[in-house]
Amino acid sequence: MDDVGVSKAPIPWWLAGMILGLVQVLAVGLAKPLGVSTQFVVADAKVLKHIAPEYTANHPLIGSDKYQKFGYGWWLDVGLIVGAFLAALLIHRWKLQTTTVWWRHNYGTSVLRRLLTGFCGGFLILLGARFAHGCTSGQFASGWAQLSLSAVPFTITLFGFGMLTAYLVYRKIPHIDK
Amino acid sequence: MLQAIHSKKSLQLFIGLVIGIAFGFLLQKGGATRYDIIIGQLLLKDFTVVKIILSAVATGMIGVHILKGLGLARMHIKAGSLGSSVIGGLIFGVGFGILGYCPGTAAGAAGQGFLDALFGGMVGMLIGAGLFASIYPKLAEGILKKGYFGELTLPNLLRVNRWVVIVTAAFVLVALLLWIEKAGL
Repeated sequence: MDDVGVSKAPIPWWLAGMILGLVQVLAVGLAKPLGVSTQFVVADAKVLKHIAPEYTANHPLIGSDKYQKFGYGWWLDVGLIVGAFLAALLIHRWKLQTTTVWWRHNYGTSVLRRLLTGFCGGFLILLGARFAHGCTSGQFASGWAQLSLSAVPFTITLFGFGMLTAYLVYRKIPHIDK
Repeated sequence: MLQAIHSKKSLQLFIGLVIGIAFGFLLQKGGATRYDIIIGQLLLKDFTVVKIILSAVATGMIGVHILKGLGLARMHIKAGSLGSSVIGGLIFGVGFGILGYCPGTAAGAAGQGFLDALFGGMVGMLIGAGLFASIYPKLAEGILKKGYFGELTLPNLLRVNRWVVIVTAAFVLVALLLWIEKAGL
């Protein structure tokens, strides 16, 4: 199976990082800090409103305005997908794929296996993100930029358990030429 | 002028879209939408993710506080507690190590054509979000409030002027970045 190449990123890290920081500043100036995970709850809230309107209306979280509108945050998440799509397309790196080098090196080519573990992982990251009131964008990146104390314990546990889990899950490390 | 921008709803939606596109574009360009790069970071084999985040945080921190100082923006600190941050980080970390994406990079990866991010990751994320919503009423006054510290900021906690923290943090971040680069990571 052919990757688009686990090669060098298109632009150097410091350039991506600095411009991302500027995007954060722009976001704060024009609207709100960057954040991603809330909108997944919004999507659920909107669906639940249709299939269980009474439950939704009485629910302390998803009945509220914050979770019942497709606002700035929603369109930010939509834009994220579009932006990545455009960036990849422009340099001919858009490609449908399901597994990558690290994964195949450890678990073979089974797409189903990857989808199932992806599902479990995805489930946990959003659950964890909403516990912490934000994900790596909303709590970590935006939190640290605003010097919010809530970012500190989150960062420590995130990376601690992230590293431990990755170590346990990915035992074999492929050789990657950079 | 910025007040007017903040209050126009339709403009806010457009701004969200544009900022989102820029965000996704940069994540792809920096290589962060690649699962291999994220797992590589967690396994300490590839430091792209940390380098991007540290430089983004340093830039953002300075810029956001300049805006605040000029009266052009206000903070949106998320109220926190040990319960929510520690348990959230734990659960998130485990999921992160399994999936190989965070919510933002999963969305970006999906945009780039990674079907595992779309059909595995994002579907899982929607269900996880739904579970959270359903158990929220039980958690809200309990574990989510354990060790509650509200919207506390580091400068407030340390009782110093925020620029002391910012300048110190910026120095530390730059030093860390230089060290990582020098170590060839």
